[in-house]
Amino acid sequence: MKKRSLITACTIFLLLLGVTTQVQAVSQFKEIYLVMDELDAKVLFRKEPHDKSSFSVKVGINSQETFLPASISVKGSFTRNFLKKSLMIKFNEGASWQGKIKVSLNSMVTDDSNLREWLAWDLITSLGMVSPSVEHYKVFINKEYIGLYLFVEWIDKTLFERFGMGTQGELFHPVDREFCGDMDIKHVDKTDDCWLKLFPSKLGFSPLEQLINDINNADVNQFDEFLEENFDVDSVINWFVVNTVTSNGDTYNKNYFLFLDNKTSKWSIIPWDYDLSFGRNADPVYKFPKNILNDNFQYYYPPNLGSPNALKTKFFKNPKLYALYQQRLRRVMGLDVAEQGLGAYAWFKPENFSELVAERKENVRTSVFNGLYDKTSKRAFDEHVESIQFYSLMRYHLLKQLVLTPTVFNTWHWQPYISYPVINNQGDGATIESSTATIHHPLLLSDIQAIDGDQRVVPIDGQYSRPLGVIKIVKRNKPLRLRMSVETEHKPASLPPQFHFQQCIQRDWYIDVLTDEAVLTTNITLDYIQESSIHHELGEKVRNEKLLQLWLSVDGEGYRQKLIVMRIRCIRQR
Amino acid sequence: MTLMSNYSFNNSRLYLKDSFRFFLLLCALLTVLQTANASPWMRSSGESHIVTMMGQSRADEFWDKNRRLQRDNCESKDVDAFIRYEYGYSYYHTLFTDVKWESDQCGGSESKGIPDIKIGLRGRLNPYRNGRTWQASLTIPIQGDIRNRSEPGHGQFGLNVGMYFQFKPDPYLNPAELGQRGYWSWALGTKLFTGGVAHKAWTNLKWSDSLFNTSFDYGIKLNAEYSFGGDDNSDSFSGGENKRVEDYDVITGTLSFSHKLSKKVRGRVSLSQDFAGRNTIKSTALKFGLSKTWK
Repeated sequence: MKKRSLITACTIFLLLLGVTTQVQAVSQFKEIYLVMDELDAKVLFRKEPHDKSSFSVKVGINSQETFLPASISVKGSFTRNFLKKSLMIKFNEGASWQGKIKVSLNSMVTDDSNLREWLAWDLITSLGMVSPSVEHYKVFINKEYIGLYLFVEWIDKTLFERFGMGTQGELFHPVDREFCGDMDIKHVDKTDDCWLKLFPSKLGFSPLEQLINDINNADVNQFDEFLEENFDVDSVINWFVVNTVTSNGDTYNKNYFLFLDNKTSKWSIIPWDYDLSFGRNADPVYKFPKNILNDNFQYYYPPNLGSPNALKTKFFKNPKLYALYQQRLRRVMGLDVAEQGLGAYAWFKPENFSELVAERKENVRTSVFNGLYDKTSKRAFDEHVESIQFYSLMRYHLLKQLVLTPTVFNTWHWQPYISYPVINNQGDGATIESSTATIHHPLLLSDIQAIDGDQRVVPIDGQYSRPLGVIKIVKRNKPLRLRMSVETEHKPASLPPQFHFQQCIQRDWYIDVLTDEAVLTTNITLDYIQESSIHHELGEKVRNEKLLQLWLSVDGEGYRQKLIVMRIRCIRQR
Repeated sequence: MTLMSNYSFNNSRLYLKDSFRFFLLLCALLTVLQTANASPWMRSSGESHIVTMMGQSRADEFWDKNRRLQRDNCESKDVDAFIRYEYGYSYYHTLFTDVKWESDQCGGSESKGIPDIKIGLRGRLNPYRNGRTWQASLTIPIQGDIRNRSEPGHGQFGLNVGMYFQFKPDPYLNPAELGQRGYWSWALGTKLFTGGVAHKAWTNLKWSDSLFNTSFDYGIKLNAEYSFGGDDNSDSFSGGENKRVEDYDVITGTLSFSHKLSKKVRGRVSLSQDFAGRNTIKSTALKFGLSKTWK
């Protein structure tokens, strides 16, 4: 007998899916010991955020016996506003470490998992891109543990030399606070404001200006030839693939490097800054730092997420380049056996990714809770790691359909169902001029053929590529067919008697068992939107998501509360 | 200096057309900035900051010893130039030096030159906060006899000390407030002179905020200055060639604007007006200039 179940969540939900990978090994991270004046050590972290002062320091890397003279300063942009600062160590003349005169340490202060940047760099390295060495380090100052940092090799001539590109190139980097490193023709006249020339300082911006002019003048249909002639094409493809996989939109007008190899006269892209990645995005309503500390996340951002960029726009519009991009994405997702053995093959395949995260999580766990500044709580850490795991599973299935098996509704720029409200950011704080996001489609539908051997199925909406949840099959008596449909962002169709709809998630989940006489035992992960304060499915009276309850109605009969091992995985604004 | 000694403010347009370089030189030489206007901001270590201001002040009235406003028979048109360089010697100390050039006209008489230079040191009252600073500078007279429109302390060595407080929220308790809200600042200090002349004390209160966007700032300041001590406090001011006598006080309001022109450069304009006083001229000043910060 076919069954239809209607599920409503009133004042929860969520998730039932657990990551069960067990990892035994726990390794110690390398350590950096800093010795400096006691007052300087306090001032370094507590001084005004945008002070650029440096202080004398002695540096011991993996050693408390040999110390190198150096200066230390705060680096970064908005992370300066937190106590746990990102740090830059510059060795005094004549001193260096592994040939480097600078050591860059990222605080990862906005990422309670302390994993996002490392994961992104792991993918970048696996793809074989020209990229810095990256490693977690424990930082001590005057023998006091400051916290876990991410060492990111300083991008200078020695890095390019290591990749066989010589030392004669030219390196450019968009100015972080100007937001105009987008290669748009309208910014070509102020390249010295929008860009930094990192080396050589004597030569000006003319090669970059020429490049910007050429990109903007190039014909989209011949853009593949233009790119072949002027770029290390792999670096461009990989950049877009990495940004797609990690949902990194915090780039394209900043946060990347452009390197001109004077031996080949070709440009390469070196990615940068992946703290706001893996589904995280700023909340436009709140002011700093609450906007950046938006712990909600989303996995359905389109591949072209982020600011406009002339190179990006023409790249995605060119069919040949888009095909190359899809091919590279297939490789990273482990969908093209022909590419097996190539860099980053199957890196983003859920099983592989889950294992990578779980392994690193155990290592990081030992070092993140006892730092001196901006401590990470155990709960926040676990929730963030789990959100990365969940993100990867849903993102994988989204990309598989959205990019690799597109329908008429699915394109690289497709974000069809949301019109975000206008935000007024002037004055004392942001206000929403229209109260809610406008939703253009309420119904998502997925057919699942549960075949023998499947243990976990992610139902996907056929038109819009939206994953609807995760169904983990525990037991069944025969192969069966399921249909899952979701009415999104609307008042629930019916309610348990004592509830007001504003106490509930604004969504209904329907599950139809379409195979006669089938008996299925399953764990189900259901998903609802909570991307930001202007885009979510929380009823107005839902104050604490952890108190949400799941209610089930079978074949239109009355509701029963189903407290199926409710593991709460929602994370929210701090 | 030779070139500028023959300079007339009224034909400056001709010179401005010649070259931007000349304009910068003009900024450097034709500006004035009162000591009380000194920025309380500590420079980061190794950071440089330069300010040039130029402008003109006019006065055709004065306040007598009974604070009555009187017509001055000597209408003054003073042109001033000022340049200040600041350097972050360390996180804890900022060095600075001022050079000022003046051309004072009153009736038919005129004098011009560099009256003095200042060298100074700024430090932190709170090691973790900026905008809460002490400052000390030494005034060294250069061409002390060039002016016929003198004021107390002119031509003397001087010691200027002051304290400055910007009432901005704690950046870590209220980071969202940074750059979003206006703030008050308050300063007070004294200028002590050699030679038995009167000393000065000053204080000011300022409101600063952004207008339209964070690139465009404005400030409204009220400054009070009065003299104390000195050998001769019996004078009664009657206008003429001097700006004031030893026993005086004055309250001045200033409206200032600055706009970010590029990553390192800001343009600045200020309009000052004396509102009340005793034994001093009633002056109106318009100044403009540029500042640049780099490391």
